Amino acid sequence: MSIILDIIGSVIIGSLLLLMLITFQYRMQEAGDRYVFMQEMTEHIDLAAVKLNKVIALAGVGFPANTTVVHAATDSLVFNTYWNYETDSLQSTPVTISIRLTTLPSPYGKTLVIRQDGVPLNDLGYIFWVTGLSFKYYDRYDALTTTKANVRAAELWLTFSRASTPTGSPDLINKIQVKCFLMNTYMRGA
Amino acid sequence: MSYMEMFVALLAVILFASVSVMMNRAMLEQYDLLVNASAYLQASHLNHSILDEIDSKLFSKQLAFKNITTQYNTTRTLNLQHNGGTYNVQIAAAYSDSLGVPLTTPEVNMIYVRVRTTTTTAGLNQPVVMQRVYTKTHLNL
Repeated sequence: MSIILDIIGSVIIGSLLLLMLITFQYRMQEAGDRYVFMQEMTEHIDLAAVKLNKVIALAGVGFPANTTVVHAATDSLVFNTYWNYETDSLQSTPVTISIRLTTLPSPYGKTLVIRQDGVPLNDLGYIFWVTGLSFKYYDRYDALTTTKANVRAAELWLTFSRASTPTGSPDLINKIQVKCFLMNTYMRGA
Repeated sequence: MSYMEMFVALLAVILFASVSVMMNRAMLEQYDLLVNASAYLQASHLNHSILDEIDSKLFSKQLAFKNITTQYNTTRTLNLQHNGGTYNVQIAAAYSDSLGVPLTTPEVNMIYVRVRTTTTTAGLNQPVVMQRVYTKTHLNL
């Protein structure tokens, strides 16, 4: 009888330890995933925000302030400029820049695409892991506006997300909102 | 199972439980790092946008150079709707030398102003500080 009790006791303790090890394993996977997320995504989000700020800052070079923005919607922004983003220099012919969220074929999914005359930019033209993008526009007095001629700054609400490890954890999501000023419209007197 | 064996088994369970608690604490600390990184990013971009705001207003002559020190010595509390955080931004403007070192006794017609923004929020271990030196040019009011 005592042998049976010994065996049952050992099995219970062994199972307990095994469960702990399994929990450790899952936790390790999650921690590793979060660590990778933290390293890669933080840098990626920062790069994306800085890039978008730079792109929008150069909107309207050579254009009067009220004709800079062509299209100002909550899901996209289109503007004119004489700045060539591919060569990072001024040019004699104007270009049209569009910023919008686009669904690319599998496995890429939703991506923020910056296009110059319809062609995505080579340098960070595609910004991956963006699942949400919303624009809000401000006039020269920092009041919200929906009139494209009055747009002097754009606030981008960006949602980045990345799939977690295959342990059933929810996606890792990070949100940031960035206000970008159309500096050239201010230089033209706003 | 003798009492001694049971005691040893109990010690083993306690040992593993302790290790488990330590692991969980390490995970939580890592999560804190993640929260801190997110808050840092948002705070640094808020700082950046406030400094850009001054630049833009100077460009459009909506802000006179001499008024930077009067209008940008303030505190803003920003409730960000998108990421759900409340950020406190302390803005301090002072006449300075060309390197951004504030002057204790500003002279007349100073041409440098240093604006420093310090942002704090929940989950941020250290305040995020950013500063920019503005130079008066003939384009400014």
